[in-house]
Amino acid sequence: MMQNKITCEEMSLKVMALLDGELDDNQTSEVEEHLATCKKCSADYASIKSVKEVTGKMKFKKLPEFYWDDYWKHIYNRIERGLSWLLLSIGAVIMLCFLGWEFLDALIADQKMNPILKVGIFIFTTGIIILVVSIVREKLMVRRVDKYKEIER
Amino acid sequence: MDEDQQAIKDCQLGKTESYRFLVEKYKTRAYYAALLITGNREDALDLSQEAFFKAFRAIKTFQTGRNFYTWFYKILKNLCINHYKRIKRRNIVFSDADESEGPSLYLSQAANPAEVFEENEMRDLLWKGLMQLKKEDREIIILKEFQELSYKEIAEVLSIPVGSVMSRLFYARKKLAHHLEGLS
Repeated sequence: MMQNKITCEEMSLKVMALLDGELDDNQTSEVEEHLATCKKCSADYASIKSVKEVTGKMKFKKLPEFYWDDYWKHIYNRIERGLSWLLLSIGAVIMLCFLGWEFLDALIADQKMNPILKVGIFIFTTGIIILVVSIVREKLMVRRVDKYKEIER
Repeated sequence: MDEDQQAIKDCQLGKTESYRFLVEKYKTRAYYAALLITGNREDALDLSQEAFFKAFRAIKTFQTGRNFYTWFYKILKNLCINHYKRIKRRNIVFSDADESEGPSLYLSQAANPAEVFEENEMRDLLWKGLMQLKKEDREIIILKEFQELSYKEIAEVLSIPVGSVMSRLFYARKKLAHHLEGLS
């Protein structure tokens, strides 16, 4: 009895595999023979077949053709622009650092400017630098602890 | 070596044009996968294109001999999860019944079946039936029925053995059949 039950449970998965076209010829004959004599598995067969018939009737809403025309172009542009953005970013960082240094240098050298204003500008600039470093650090930390980052790609 | 593997090898050597072959081959399937998740044409287009872009950037890590689409699908799925989280942060409500188990990736209630499938007498019934399933059951049915993946491919995507795929798919379909019967 137990033997029959196990056989039937195993067979029910094969019945589904038959409907999904995942069996070879020998397995197909084996399942078909079983189906001819087993009411339970025949019921499973009918049940899964009915689901497949319903899903098989569904057709995805088609995308207008012009969307497909530009599909590759968008991806290609992004691939090509990747390097440009990297170079632009590096260049911008170098220029900003240089300008910042020049500005602070001129500020320190300026004898006419009120020392209080100098201190204010210096504190303001330091605040901006800390803020930028903090944002960059946060972004890097988020990336490091991102739970989806380790998902195999 | 099949065409996919050859194209991937070329891409790994920096030949961008070879990537077009892979994009053209899988773009429809990728778009429909994203559409089933977002239920929105524009988001599905953006996410599927973004996934292709990210896949190209990571193509050097692709191990020869593996299935491209199942590898790509994981990237797309991660992007969709992030998209879902962004939407949640913007307070657009996704009130899935099984929200406590984490976000339901496919067919959120915010999605409209009319945006995803053509008019069909069974469309709304199937949609309701799928919504009544647990998210894991829904996902495995969608991977099989609408992404048309083989058992082996589903096993790769979900990182479970083929035997578990068969068993989970079998019981998910039985539940769906039961729901459909009840709804009709």
